[in-house]
Amino acid sequence: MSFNPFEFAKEFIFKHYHQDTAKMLIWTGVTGYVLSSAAQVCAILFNSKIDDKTKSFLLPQECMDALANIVTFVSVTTLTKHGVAKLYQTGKWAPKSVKKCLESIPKFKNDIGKLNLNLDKELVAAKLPEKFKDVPEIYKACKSKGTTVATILAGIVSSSIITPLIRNKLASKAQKNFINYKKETSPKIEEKQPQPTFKSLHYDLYQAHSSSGLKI
Amino acid sequence: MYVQSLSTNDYSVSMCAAPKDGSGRIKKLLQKILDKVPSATFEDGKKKVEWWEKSNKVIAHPAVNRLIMGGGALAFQPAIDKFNHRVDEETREVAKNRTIAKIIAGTFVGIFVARGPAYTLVNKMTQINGKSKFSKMLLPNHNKDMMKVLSTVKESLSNYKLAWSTFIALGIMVFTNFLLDAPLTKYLTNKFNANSKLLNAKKEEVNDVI
Repeated sequence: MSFNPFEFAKEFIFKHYHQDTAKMLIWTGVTGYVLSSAAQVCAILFNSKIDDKTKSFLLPQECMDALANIVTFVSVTTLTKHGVAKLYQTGKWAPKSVKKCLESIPKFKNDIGKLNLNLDKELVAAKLPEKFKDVPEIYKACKSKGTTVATILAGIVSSSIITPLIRNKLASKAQKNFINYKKETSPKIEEKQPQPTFKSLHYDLYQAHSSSGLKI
Repeated sequence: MYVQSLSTNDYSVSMCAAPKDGSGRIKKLLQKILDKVPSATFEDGKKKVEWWEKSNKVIAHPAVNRLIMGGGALAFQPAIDKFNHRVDEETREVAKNRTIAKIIAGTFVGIFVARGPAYTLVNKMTQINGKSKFSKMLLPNHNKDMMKVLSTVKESLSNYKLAWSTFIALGIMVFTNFLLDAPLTKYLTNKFNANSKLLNAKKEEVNDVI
């Protein structure tokens, strides 16, 4: 059977993303940052209206921006997504009807808020009474909304607050190093010490000891 | 490796006990953290559930998602650059102007050139009941199980479309970042710099000295 990359791509996207949009947001965000930073670095390099001193800050700032963005975006958003998902899976955060359902079934009642409860699997496998037949759908909709909102907020915090603070600190250091390097490599101009002239020295002595009214 | 003891003596059983599993400690710690988080119960109902599904579809839409991220960036990043006292005033001003230009350019191109058109295209190519080959091109037609899930499970098809449109938008971004984003950022940065009172005042100072 020949390998068809297009069919492989369709299956891959179905398997990984047809249930979970939050996961997709994370990985496409990372790729977006890399592409965007590469283009911005070129824009700075070829902008003749920005002087070298400012470029020495903006270029490292852009590179640090990409690096810090990727690291913080992945760590903060992945952590937030998994954390919020766990809160829903353990029944700690749940819609009213889901909580009612869990409290009415002894198997789940004692495990609400415990790590061993995974509602993603339990609600699908369990034979629920007729009055709770809509509970799996309600749970899924609520959890999906919660994790997507949490992922977006975490993305904003990581890329718009944490990353700028980190990249500014690192880029400022890079600029200082550039300025110091420029100072060290530029030719030094020796400062001339003002020497007292022979004429002025003797003129002062003459003035001090002269008794004549004649002033030169 | 756990070795089962043949002796009934408790001591010998413990000698063959399974090695300590560190994951138990991690689980205890995670449980402690989970216990600290307050519980939450959300009001639900048919309308509420429909609202959750609708709004989730909207905010996960690539173009809307880009707009939200752009808005968040515009709210915080320029201020952080403006109050970065590790560099001089001039550098701060240029950095702030470039950040604003980058956010505006990136958001505009992202929404109107990459993500919006990508989603429209994907929507046209993922029609379950489509008649033409083009209208079903992006569906996993060869796999009956996947097609069954996409046709019957709620949100499955819309998530599948969102994923495809985001990936296609990334492919478009490879070109638009260099051909549109970067030049537009440069143009806007220079425009903001030219209109900046602080930078113009600095230029006049330098001219006066000369």
